[in-house]
Amino acid sequence: MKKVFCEKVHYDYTYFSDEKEKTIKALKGVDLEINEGEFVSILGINGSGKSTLAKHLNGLYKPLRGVVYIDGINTSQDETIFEVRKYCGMIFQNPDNQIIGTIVEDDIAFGLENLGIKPSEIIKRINKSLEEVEMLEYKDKQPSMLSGGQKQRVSIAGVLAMEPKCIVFDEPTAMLDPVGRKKIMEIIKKLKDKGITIVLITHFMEEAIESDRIIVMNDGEVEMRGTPVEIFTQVEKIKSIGLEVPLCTEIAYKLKKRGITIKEDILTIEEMVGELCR
Amino acid sequence: MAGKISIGQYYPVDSKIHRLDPRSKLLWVLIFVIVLFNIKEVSSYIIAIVSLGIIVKTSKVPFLLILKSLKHILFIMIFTAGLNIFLTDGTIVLFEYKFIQITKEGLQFASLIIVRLIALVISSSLLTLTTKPMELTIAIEKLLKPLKIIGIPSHDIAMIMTIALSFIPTLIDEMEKIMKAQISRGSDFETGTLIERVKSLLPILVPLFVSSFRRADDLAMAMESRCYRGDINRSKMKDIKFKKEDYIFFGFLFLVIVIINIV
Repeated sequence: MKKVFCEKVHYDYTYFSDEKEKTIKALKGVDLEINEGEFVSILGINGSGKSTLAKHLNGLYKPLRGVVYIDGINTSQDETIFEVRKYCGMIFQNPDNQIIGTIVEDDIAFGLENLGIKPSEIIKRINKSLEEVEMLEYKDKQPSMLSGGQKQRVSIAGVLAMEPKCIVFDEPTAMLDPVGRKKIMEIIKKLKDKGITIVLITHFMEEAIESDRIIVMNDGEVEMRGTPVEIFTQVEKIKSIGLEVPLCTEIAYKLKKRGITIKEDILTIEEMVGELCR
Repeated sequence: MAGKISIGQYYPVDSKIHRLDPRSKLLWVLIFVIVLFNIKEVSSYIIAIVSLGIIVKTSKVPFLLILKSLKHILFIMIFTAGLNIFLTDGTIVLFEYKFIQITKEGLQFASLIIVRLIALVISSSLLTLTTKPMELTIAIEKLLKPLKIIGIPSHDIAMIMTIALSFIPTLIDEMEKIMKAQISRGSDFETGTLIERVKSLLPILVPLFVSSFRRADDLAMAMESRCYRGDINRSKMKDIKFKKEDYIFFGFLFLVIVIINIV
């Protein structure tokens, strides 16, 4: 059932500076296994390699060393790369830079046209996927007239219409306001309930709480892995990497330090309220 | 602001011209322009203009809106007319002052040039007023398809046009942001001589250029991740087909050309 499988993945970026070739090791032997239907968050500071790892998951980048298998297909093989991309869709950070098409409907059709699907089926799928992200009434609108959150929902619909089994979200909420962010998270949870494998790369700890498993990246390597409770209770380690823990976990941690007896595995406000009102 | 800008100048009404295959309209503009520049008789002009008038009338686009498009070429019109009036040699001199000479032939020629220009602009703006930008790109892709044999990538050209069209509002938005950022740092775009003002645009264009490249990179990746591979095995949601109306339209065009040649 291991549908996403990475073994010892290495990736370097080469660039030129002062007329000399320089290399940055972005990924230094990353192992990753994700089961079908799982919701996994990848955390890490800027430059920790989390986005690079994400781009390996649908063959945009190919590992320099090591292998990536998606649904049993090696992403390094050019002949089957479109099977990989069909299986694993991707949502990027900037909603403006991933919408192709002058109206919403055309954008969603783009991916389907690439797969060579019949026009009648395309129209059916457009309606279905727009319905799913609650954007059906914007079908004929120009993307530039939508808000950032709405554009991101259109992007999700565009990927969803291609019926992938797995969707990688590369910081989908980084450029959105709190309302837009909440909506995107609702959609992600809904997709998970439908059985789609979710890989969420994020800066927001509150979003990572929702996942089944968290992977913390640091300097091109996997630093920690475990359930949200297992990860966030290691407050000191998380902070040493340069990340934050969720607000309520932080409060619980500080209360405990002051000698107040309180459970340490508190992640959400509800749990906090429950614990305090005990 | 960018949100309010509509791409192109499509005028959404339902008319026979709107419903025509975009290829027909595109071919009509091409043929019309060629005809316009090959006729010399006044009677031929009248027939061409009447045929244009009939098409404008059936398109249900308000005539005033079409006239608006002439505003942009007013200067060119006056300039070419002026040149033709003063520089055409002729036998019948109407007015003479030192080296300036206005002849009857000059006036005739100038007025024909103006009519030509007006008809040219009206016909081409009628095309964009009655055709959605996306339909136009599909039309261009299909019309260029036969040229694939000699290596012209018709699909790629159409895709480039589609992307350019859909990114116009984004780039306008971006330009406004950069402009505001530069104004807040003391840039001045409004005063100064023309050269100074053009120079002050440079700090806008450079960041805009850089960010466009970044956008292009992101977009290429987003397209690839959605299985884009050129026109290999690609289907089309909105396909265009020649209908009965298109054949009637071409019949009308043929008739006009025949009449022009007879008269």
